[in-house]
Amino acid sequence: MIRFTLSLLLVMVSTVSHSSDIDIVVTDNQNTPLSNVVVFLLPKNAPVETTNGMAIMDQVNTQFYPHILAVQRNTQVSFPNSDSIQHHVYSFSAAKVFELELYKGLRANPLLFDKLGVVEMGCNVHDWMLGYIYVVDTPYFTKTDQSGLASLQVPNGEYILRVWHPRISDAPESFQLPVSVDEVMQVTMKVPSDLLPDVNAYENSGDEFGEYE
Amino acid sequence: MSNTNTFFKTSLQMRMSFIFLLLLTIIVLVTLYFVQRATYQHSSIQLFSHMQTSVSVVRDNIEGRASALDNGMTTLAKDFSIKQLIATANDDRQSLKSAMFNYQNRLGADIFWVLADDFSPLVSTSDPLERSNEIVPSFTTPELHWFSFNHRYYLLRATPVRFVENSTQVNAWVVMGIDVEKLFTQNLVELTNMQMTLLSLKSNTLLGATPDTPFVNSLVLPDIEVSSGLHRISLSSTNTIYTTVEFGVWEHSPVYIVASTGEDDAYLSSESLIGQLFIILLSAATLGLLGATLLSREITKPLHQLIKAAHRMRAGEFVETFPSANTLEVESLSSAFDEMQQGIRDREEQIHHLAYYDELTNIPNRIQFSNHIRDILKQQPECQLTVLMLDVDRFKDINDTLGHDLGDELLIAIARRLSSYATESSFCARLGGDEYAVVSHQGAHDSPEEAAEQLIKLFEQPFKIENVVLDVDCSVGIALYPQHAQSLQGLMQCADIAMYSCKDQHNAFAVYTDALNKHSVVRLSLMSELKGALAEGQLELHYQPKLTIHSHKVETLECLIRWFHPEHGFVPPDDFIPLAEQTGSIRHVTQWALRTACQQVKKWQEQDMHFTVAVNISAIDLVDLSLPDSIASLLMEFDLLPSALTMEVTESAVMSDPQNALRALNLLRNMGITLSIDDFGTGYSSMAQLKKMPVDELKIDKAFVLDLATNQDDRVMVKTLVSLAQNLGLTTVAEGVEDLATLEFLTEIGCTKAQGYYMTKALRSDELVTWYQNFTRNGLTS
Repeated sequence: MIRFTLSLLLVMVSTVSHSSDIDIVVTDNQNTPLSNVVVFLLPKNAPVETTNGMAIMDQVNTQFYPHILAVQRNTQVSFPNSDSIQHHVYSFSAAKVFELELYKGLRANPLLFDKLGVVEMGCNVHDWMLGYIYVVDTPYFTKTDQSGLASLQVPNGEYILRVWHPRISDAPESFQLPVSVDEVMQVTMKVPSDLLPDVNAYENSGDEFGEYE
Repeated sequence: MSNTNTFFKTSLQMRMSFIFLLLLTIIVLVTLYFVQRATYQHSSIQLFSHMQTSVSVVRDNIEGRASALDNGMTTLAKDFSIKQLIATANDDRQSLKSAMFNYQNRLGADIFWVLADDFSPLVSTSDPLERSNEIVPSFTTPELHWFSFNHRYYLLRATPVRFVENSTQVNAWVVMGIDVEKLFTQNLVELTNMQMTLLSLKSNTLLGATPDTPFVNSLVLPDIEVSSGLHRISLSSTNTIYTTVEFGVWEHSPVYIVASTGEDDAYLSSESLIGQLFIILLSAATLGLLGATLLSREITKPLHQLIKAAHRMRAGEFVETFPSANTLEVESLSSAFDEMQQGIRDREEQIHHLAYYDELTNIPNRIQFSNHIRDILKQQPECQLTVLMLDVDRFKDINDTLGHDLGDELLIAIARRLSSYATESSFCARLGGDEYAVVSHQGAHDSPEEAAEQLIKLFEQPFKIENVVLDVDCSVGIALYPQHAQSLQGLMQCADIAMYSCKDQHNAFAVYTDALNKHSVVRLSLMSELKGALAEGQLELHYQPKLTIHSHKVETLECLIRWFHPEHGFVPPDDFIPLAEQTGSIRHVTQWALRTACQQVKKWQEQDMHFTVAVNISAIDLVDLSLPDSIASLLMEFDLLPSALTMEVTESAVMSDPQNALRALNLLRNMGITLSIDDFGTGYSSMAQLKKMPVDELKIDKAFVLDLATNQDDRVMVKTLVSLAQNLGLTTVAEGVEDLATLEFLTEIGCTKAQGYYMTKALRSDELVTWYQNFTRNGLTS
């Protein structure tokens, strides 16, 4: 968490002049706020600063931790194993095909995520393990909290607001919102389609995410 | 019961056997029917249950195969290397295909497809699936999915492949199929003992079947019923029993499995059961028939004995023993027969008593008396019998004066005395009324007269009945066998004749003589012949002149009836007139006499002889009020004056019914007919009556006249009578004048007319004419 915040701060510091806070609330089509949704703003005109940052996808109690990890393109993600048992993490997603064969601890080298999109990860040893790394092409991204609220400080300008979550069946492009940021503002984004079923209740348990309501 | 009826009647034994057989047949048939139905139902239920079980077994079997395939495919879908191969399939299809073949072999599948997440084909055993995006997800549902591909049928299963197991995203599809032929094998037949056929009725397609299924001909498929229960279908000359159960889907329509078996196989056991049952029932029927025969024999045997006994009873025999049987019914029938026999016997005795004994006096009656004599005559034709017939004198008077009850008592008392008189050798009976009869063997008494006297002696003691002392006399007629008659009837008749003769003669008894018989026989037969005799002209009228004394002329004649019987010759009027009066046929005689007299008078008138003819009228004629009318019409018919006729009426005739006689006499008198009282002096004429009577003439009975010449008393009597008549203004006729002295005396005392042999006897009409002509010429000197 500390590392995650640090990396955010780095991004924010680098684009310091004339920035505003923007609060984004994501709801389903029943107006229920959704938590743990990846929210990101794509600048329309300004070029995007590249990054060589680091991110961590840990495995704790035979679960990916966090369940959803949003990263900017070209971020190095390391897969430490906090469990005392071996995992075999893999992905066949187009954004990043990889396989970390049976390992323990920090033996694994970080992997570079240089393609945009969803990387769905599993463990060949533990079928129930499911984790997502969502690679975005912007430094302005975050996840909604338990109340469905995401706050970002971004330089004033024109953006395209997109959201992503494994339960949202709509493609992020299909319901993106153009946002013009010049002062503190609040945007509500409603998912058009019904959510996919919450099969595994990854987000209903665990300390970090808690309850939606 | 006629013979034609009995011809159609069967014996009880036969009938019982027939009924037993009929009942057994009914029982057998009903039992057969119900057992057959029950076993059929039972075996149907069992068959149905067996079929359902079989279908369940087959379902279990096939679903097991599907489930095994599912499990295998799930393992396959989780195989990391397969996932890797699928993920890299676009670069290396051959590796995936070869891995899939490996899995196909492992899972015993016959066909497979691997599809990408957008259902685009990755690898497969043969051609790609059409409309795969539509059909493939449906193959994941638990029900059985049937699929046709390249003219073969498969059981298909599909499973999604997720690269990350818990992902919501499906990354690929694996579809695998097992050929139906491999599922519907002989193994299923052995397992279930049934033929199994899988078919779709929507398109009438046979998807699969165990070998030798009867439904190979798809033409019969439309006839298959899908409703629950057993059905029968005729296929190639054998009946097939089947049931259908829904068994998965093919192209969105249900597929059915048909479990079938040949009807013969299904019901063979029940038929053999029926066969055994039939044999059992047949033997039961035989035993029953045997039992019926024995039972009926048990019943009919005593019945036959009873029939025999009844025949003997009819023949008059007394049956001592009746068949006893161990059945209550026969026992009571036997005793009923016995009682009936006793009853018949009692009644016979009663009837016999009624028939052969006199009800009042309780001594034998005429019938038994006759039988008794008949028996003696039959058994001992050589014997000698005395038949005594007894009649109480003046019994009618006793009855009339003392009443019938006392009369009956008297009859009983007489019977009692007769019974005491009758000994072993004699037999007494009451013949009826106051007539009794006794028959005894001759020799028991010395003579018939003595027997009669002994009988009469019984009546010497007066009878004392209810404080009345009665002196009773009797008349006894005696007839002897074989002297008087040889037959019973003859004997009875003879005795009767003798008895009546002694009544006439006022004797106490009379023994029969032939003379009595002749007389009576003539008397009896004459009456029946009288009417015919009238018609045949056997009767004649003779005329006896009445001499008018003072003028010495003959002006009046008395006609007298004469019967010349062709057999008996002359029958005196005294013999038949009283009988005719009794029987009433006197009317015809009178009518005939009147008509003949009128005819004769007319004839004489035409010959210039004018006579007044006197006709005798009986008492019966007198009270018959039609007489004046018939006389009037006769006078009219012959054109005669009333003065041509004189009616002579006896004194006693008038006295029997004076009122009616007077009325008739008055009518006749008013007509102008002369009336004469006949036989005057013999009756009990009252002078008062005589005074009232409209008569013109008194005829003095010849009893007074016959001896007139010599008898002084008669002279006085006749003289008195003549003077009496003169005083009453009546003329007098003296009958029975037979000599001149008498005539002279009559002339002397002033008698009006004389009639008798001295003048002439009664003559035939032609003789009379001759006599009359001689008389007018010569007077009485001849």
